[in-house]
Amino acid sequence: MADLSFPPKRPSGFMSSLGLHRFHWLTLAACATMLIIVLMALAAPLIAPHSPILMNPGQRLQPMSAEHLLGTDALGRDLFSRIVYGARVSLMVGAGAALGALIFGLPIGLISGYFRMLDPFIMRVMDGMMAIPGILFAVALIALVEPSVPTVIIAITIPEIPLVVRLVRARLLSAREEPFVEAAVTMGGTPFSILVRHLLPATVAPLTIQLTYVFAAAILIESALSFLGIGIGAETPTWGNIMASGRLYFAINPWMILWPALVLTLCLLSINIIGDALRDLLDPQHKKRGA
Amino acid sequence: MYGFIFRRLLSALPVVFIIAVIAFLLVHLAPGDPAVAIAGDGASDDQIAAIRRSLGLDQPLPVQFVTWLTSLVQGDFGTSMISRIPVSQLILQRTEPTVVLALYAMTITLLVAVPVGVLAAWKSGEWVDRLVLAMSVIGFSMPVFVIGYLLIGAFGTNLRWFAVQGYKSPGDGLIPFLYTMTLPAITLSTTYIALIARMTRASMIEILGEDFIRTARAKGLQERQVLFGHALRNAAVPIITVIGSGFAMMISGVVITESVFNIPGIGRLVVDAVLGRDYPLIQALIVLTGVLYVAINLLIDIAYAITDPRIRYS
Repeated sequence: MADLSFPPKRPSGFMSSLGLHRFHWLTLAACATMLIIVLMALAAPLIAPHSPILMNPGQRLQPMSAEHLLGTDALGRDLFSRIVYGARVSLMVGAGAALGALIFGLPIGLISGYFRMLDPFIMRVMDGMMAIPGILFAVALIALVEPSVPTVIIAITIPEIPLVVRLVRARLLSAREEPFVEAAVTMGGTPFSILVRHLLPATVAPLTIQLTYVFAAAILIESALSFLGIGIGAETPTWGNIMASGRLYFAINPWMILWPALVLTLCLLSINIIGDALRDLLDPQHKKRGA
Repeated sequence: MYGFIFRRLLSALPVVFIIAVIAFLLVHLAPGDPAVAIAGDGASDDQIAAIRRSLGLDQPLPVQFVTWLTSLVQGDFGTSMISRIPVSQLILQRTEPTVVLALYAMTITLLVAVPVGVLAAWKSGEWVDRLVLAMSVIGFSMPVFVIGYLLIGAFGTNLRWFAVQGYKSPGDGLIPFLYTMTLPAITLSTTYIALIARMTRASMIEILGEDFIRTARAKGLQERQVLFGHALRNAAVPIITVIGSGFAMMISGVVITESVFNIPGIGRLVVDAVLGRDYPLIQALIVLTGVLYVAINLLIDIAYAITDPRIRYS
């Protein structure tokens, strides 16, 4: 049954003119945070007051000041500038992994869900891939190739593919039982046209939700890899690398770790909140179940 | 019953085989020659060729795979390229800290997550519930190393309540053990607590809406009995499933936690193996964690079948 209390009150004011009154303030705050981080990444050269890689031995381990907003690290690099530039890598890795998981996961899922003969084989391979912890998979791949932004994206994407495949397949298995698919078959639709025109749209909503979480997971794993010292090279400013370089000095100046940690956590939190909001919006059944 | 277990075991075999194939291909199909990497810079072609021969890398891929798999099945994981110790021995040396850490973290998780999840479901929609939901989203979004350093900063360097690195086994006495291992265990369990509390809440809310709960309340059972006796038992299946599928997540957490707290366990071994490009060790670790994941989920499935006959027949 439709929830009659929704929308709760007459919209008014600026927010409603944009249609924003329908969303929880937390969702809006999350979107605003992500917007800021995206802008930070795009306009990094304009925002950052210093070069993120320029070492300045005379300015080592400076506290916060007007000159260095968040202080400097052990090599005299400006922390604020490094964090601003770090947003570029994180967003690139997140977007790259989400896109990669979509490009590979969607076709494989469609094939597995529609052509039942291939299904057992594909699903066993996916089960096998899922049994290997994502970080271990990524770590092993990176051990074999030189870590760079593209290789890290690939290493993070591959373990995410089975999740997308399973989701698409599951959605397809229930969608193909629908009468409209039967009707399309009766009318002589080719498997390809049925897949693309009738079954593909059914996967859009769950995929959108899933890819938001892939986006967050990729950013998380990238920062973890950098933090462990096995990710993108230490000279590239990434949030994980900044934290890794602050480890030795944690007792002296914990902010070298805490600032990037705060930005990273805020970023992940925002993506997860947006993901939850998308799920409530696109999958009302889920909300009704109380999850 | 035995039929179900047998069928379930049979269905796990291809998955284990695929894990072995992936672990094998990962090392052999990746660009870059392991022999060159081992030989290091400035090695002559002859030296590289000799290393390639000694590793069997000059054989065709399928032959290499069969050789490797055969010795794997016999429990021979090869020899570490760095320390020249059998890989199995190397892994065994590092197992105890990881298992202890994981069990401690799991204990904390269950003690916190399940009651909190039940409470949130019971007070569904009220402020307690919203607080639990908010905390679980935050807890889930915090990277493990961020949690680790926050805890180190607060309870280690500032308050000095706990040690910030190293490992003590429970055999070293309860106080040293708790002193050293509590921060790592909390660090490792936070993500898990967030996940399981949320799952418990969702599952409990669904069950609490069922007719038999109304019946239980109507016949005058105490709320505690309704919640933990009737509802939680029926809500347990999805919760246990999450514990099983979250195992992979736990491994990632272990790698990072052990690195933050300097614990000589499997997680540190993973990082060392990667930094040293120790291929046999990497392969063995992938196969072992993969198989462990399959085994844990297998056991959980069998546990369901024993407790709930409906699962056995579907």
